[in-house]
Amino acid sequence: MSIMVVLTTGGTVKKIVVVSGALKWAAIAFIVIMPILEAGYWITNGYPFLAPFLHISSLPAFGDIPIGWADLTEVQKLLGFIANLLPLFFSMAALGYLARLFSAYEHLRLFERKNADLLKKTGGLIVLGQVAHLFYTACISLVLTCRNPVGHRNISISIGLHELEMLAIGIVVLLVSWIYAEAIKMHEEQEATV
Amino acid sequence: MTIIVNLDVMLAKKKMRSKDFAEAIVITEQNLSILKTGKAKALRFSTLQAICRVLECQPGDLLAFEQGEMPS
Repeated sequence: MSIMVVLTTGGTVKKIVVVSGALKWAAIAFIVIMPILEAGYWITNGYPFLAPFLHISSLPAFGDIPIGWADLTEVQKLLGFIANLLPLFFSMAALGYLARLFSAYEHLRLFERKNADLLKKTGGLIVLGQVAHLFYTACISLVLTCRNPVGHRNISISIGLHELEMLAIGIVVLLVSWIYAEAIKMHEEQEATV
Repeated sequence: MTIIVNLDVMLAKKKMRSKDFAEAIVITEQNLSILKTGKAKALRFSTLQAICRVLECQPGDLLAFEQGEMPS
C-alpha cells in the first residue's frame, strides 16, 4: 500500500518528507536554544547590546512598582531564571511532541493513532501552559519584588492577551487532534474494506 | 467478529485455489486473506457480487451472523 502511494504521488511524498524533516529539526533546535536564550537573558540583564536592533521587553512590570536590573541581586536573577523555566518547560515539551509528530511524518507514518495522541498532548500542554502561567506570574512577581521596601512587595497573578490567544490556539489544536483521531479510524476502516 | 465469512468452505466446495479465486474476482491475494481471516471491516457490494458470480452462490451462503461482542 505504501509503495503504491510513493509511486502515484512521488512529488507530494517527497515534499512531506523534506518539510517534515526540516520542521522536526527546527523544533529540536528551539528546544535546545530556548533555555540557553533564557539563561542569557538573565545573565546579560536582558541583552542590552541587542536593544538598538530588537525590541526585547524588559523585566515584567507589576503596577507602579519600579523594577530595574540594577536593583536585582544575583540570587534574584537565578530565581527569576528558575521561575521562567516553568512556562519554558511547557513550550519545550510541546515542541518535543511536535518533533516526534514531524518525525513520524518524515517516515511517512501519516495515519497512526500515535500521531493523533501526540497532537492531543501538544494541545493539552499549550492549554496547561497558560494555566501554569498564572502560577508563573505569582512566582516572578514575588522573586522580583521580594527585596523591595515594604509596600512595594508584590505577588501578582495575571493573564494577558497573549496567554488568551495561546489558550485559544491550544483548544483549536485539541479539536484538530480529535478530528485527526476520527480520520485515522476512518482510514483504518477504509484499509480493511475489501 | 459477529459476521462470519464462510469463504474457505465455499472455495473448498468449488475446489478453487485462493490465487485463482483472487484473480477471478479481481482483488489482491492480500485482500482475499483479510476477507478469509475475518479481519475485514467492510465488504463492497461489487466484491460480494463478484464472489457470488464466480462461486455461483448467494450472499447468504457466504455470510453468517454469530451472537457476540461488537468489534471495536
